[in-house]
Amino acid sequence: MVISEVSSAAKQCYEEGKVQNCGGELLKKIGRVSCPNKREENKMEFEEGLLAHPSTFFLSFTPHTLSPLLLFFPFFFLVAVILNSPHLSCEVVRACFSSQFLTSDPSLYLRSLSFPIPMAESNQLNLNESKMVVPLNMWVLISNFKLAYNLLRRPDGTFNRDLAEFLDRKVPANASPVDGVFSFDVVVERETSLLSRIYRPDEGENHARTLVDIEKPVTSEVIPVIIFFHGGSFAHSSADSAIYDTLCRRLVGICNAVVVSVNYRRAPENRYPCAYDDGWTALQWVSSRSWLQSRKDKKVHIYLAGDSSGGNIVHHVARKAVESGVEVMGNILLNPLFGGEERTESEKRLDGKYFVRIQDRDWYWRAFLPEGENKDHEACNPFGPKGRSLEGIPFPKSLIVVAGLDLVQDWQLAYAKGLEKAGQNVKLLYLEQATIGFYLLPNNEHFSTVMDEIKSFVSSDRS
Amino acid sequence: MKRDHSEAGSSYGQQGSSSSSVAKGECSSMSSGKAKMWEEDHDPSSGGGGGGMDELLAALGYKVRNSDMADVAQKLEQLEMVMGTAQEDGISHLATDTVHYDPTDLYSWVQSMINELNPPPTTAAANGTSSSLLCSSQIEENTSRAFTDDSEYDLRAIPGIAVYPQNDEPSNKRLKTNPVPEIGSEGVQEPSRPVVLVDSQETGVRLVHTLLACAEAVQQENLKLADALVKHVGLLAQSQAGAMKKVASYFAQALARRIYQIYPQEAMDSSFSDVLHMHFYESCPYLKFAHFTANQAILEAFASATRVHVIDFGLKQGMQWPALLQALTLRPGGPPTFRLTGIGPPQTDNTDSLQQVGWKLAQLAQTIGVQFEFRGFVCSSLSDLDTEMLEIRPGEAVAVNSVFELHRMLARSGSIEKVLGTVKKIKPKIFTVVEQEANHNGPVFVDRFTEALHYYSSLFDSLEGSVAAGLAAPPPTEDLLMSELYLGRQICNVVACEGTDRVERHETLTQWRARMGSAGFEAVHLGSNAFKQASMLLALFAGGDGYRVEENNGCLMLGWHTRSLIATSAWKLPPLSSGGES
Repeated sequence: MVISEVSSAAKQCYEEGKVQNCGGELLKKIGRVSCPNKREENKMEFEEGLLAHPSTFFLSFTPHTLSPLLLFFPFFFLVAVILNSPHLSCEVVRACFSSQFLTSDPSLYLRSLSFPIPMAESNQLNLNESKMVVPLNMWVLISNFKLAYNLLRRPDGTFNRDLAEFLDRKVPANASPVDGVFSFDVVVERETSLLSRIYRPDEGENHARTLVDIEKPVTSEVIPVIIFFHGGSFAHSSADSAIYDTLCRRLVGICNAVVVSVNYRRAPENRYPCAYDDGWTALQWVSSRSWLQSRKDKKVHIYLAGDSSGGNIVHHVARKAVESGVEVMGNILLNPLFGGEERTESEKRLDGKYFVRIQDRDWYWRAFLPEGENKDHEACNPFGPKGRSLEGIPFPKSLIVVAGLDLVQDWQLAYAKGLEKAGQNVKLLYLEQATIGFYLLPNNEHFSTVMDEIKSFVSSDRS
Repeated sequence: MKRDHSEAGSSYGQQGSSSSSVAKGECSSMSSGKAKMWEEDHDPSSGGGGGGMDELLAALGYKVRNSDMADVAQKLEQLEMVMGTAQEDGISHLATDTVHYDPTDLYSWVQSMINELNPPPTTAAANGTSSSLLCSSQIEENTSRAFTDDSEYDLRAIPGIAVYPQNDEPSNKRLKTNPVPEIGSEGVQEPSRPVVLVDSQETGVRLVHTLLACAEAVQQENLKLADALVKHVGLLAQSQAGAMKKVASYFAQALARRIYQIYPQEAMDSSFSDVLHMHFYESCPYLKFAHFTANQAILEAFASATRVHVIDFGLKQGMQWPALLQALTLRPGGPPTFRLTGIGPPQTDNTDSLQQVGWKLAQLAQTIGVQFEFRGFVCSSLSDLDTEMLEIRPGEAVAVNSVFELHRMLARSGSIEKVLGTVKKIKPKIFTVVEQEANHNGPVFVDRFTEALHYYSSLFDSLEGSVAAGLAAPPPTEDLLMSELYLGRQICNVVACEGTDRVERHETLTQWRARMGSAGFEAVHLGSNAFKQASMLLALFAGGDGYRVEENNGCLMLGWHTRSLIATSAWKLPPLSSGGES
């Protein structure tokens, strides 16, 4: 064994009979941090092994006690190590500070991390599973959202709103009918700058709309008015997002309804209950518009609809409506976002498999719920430990759409069950092979199934 | 024809930004799913290859050409892979660091992020010595900004300045695949790639023949002839371009050293070797692949251990360990305590590089909350190691790791047996070995020479290839030049040195298998998960095409096109012998 200059220094120590003082002497000679931690009795034995021991510069770290300090003051760490070690003299301390260690560049290693970490077998991603169940363009669309949303969520719970607004594809209102639908934005409430985008079926006159035209009373005997709350886990998208503009236009065409898409305030900037308040404000506004009243009974036939967080908002706005005596004819909840503290079977089984990870869900709840509240808050878990039963309350009928590959499904099913138990009218539509967002593109059978259901759901009170 | 390709490539590249204003105008008038507008609108110059936009996505404000859909999906998948592997905050820097040009154009948006994850090597001006040494200034004229689409693939097949003739020298029109059939056999095996016949082919063939003839003369100790031939090689090499020129120059240089007996001083400067090693690490995926695959095997072997000990036979700058440390922190139940024994050669300049690496790793371990212990071991040969020196503690799970170290033990008889014996006594849970996949240790000089010529031609091709892939900036980077120097030294050792000085005694996986088997080791299957991930990560981080991961009886190989260049294998002791011995 050749141990270069260190071994000769050690050997010298040994020959000079300085074994007892080996560590200190050696350090003086070589000027390095060394902490010989051999037990005393060993010292006499290692005639051969001696060469090896002093050359092993030994660093024992106790990270947990020092780590916060170290992050900011590597100096403190060094000093602490040195002071903790009785073997080390001031000389060594000086040697340490003069060594290149303090100027060395730890970012060197960060570069090596650009080649990612190996993953254990259990962590392996099954990307193809999600690819197999949806059309490719759907997969691209949703994966694109998944990727973008990952960029936007910061680990500290804040949200990159500027980039979000840039990445979100937006469409302005268009008062000229396209495919029989025209749209315009209205200010519902000035204080909170609440906007809603209203989509109306074009009733024949195929010309540019004027201000008078857009608020022209509806002519149908019965026309459903669907108040729509877009999805996006309370944080993403808006009423003018292209995906929701397109969806609302499709709803108008398919259901022959007016759609009012509510541009509610989003988390984390605006937590609970801002979104619900905006939904309630929009509902009051719609119910008081005379030009939206069906001719037959001079009533606005209001349906509440929403996907993801929008579905959640539907429930809470409907509840408020019931309490306040505003009539809602039905609720449509598409993949509504509910949750709870408990980890359900579907959350475990589908975690990370179909576009969504449970940790992402948790992030959004943290962003939306009041600080300090957990997922058993009523907003998240309406029939959970802190929830209130709807028994004996004249709650609107509900159409609940659950995607079989959505990890939130157990909570959605629990919601449906909760309604049923309270004696409410529930229609559950369980689409076994559907994933989140299937309704954004009309190229799958689930889309038409759901649209047919919605159409008949909002048409049942038509004569 | 080549020019067409290059133009198509670059106009496509510009499309992302040039059409963004169009896209915005489009957005506002679109409003209803009139997808046809998109189709009319997109850049006619790229229409030939493209096909129309996906109408459904267009209605939602995203343009993706139907023909690009699968490609975009793959890129998204790759990015997702990174998100999956990165920690919670692993990619949030993409939100701030990436310039997001046009989120409407999903293809370029996704591509911009992939580029961000795989930043081009720094374009720091190469220092004077290395650039003059390699005479590679010509490549600087290659200013193509390449994208990984099909048209680009053709472009990349032609390294260096072949597709950008900047002057009239016929040699500049050289095509990689053809002039040297003995070396680059891809031309034959992948006929689908376009081939341009050029007149420098003859020179290329002559160059290789002359090199081989020179080696032959050396073997026959006809030094006068060898001297004449080596000078001729020098001349012929000047008329070549790209990888061929560099490889030929290094081999000629090595031959000249052998002829004139000017041997390089191998051990003189291990710190400079470390520097070259770092550049090699940066410029191409070989070492990253080696680290990744070895780490994967180690991670699995450490599955449930609470105290682990890694013995690294060649610590160098310790680049392998941050990733493993980080992976261990992600383990359910928290990371184990981690001991690292880093072994390195003695330093002539009295610097204490091992210890400095140890400090830095300790610092990193500290910040990510891993209990870490480091020992640096200076020894000039692994065969000097003894089990006792390594202080294996009862109850700790040990991994022994060797990246490009074991073949050095073949220079002295008995050394490798001694090292393997030591490893056996350590009783590691796993012994990971990465070696060059070539036989540069045959008894006959000409055979070694020929084999090495093939091997290093592929390696240099791959270095050029990744540059042409557009991920690196066009002028040769310091990383690239230094990597060539790194490989050049190996060439020099294989060709010029003999006896115990010849340490680059690479042997093939088959040979290593036999040796490990007879030493009593059992192969550990690296698994298809490692294979899949390594392939994906390569596609992402090495700029994709050209590199190929292959599985060979449980071992993983990384190669360039059809040629395997390095192999990772993992070994363990059979349960009986590990209990029986000692």
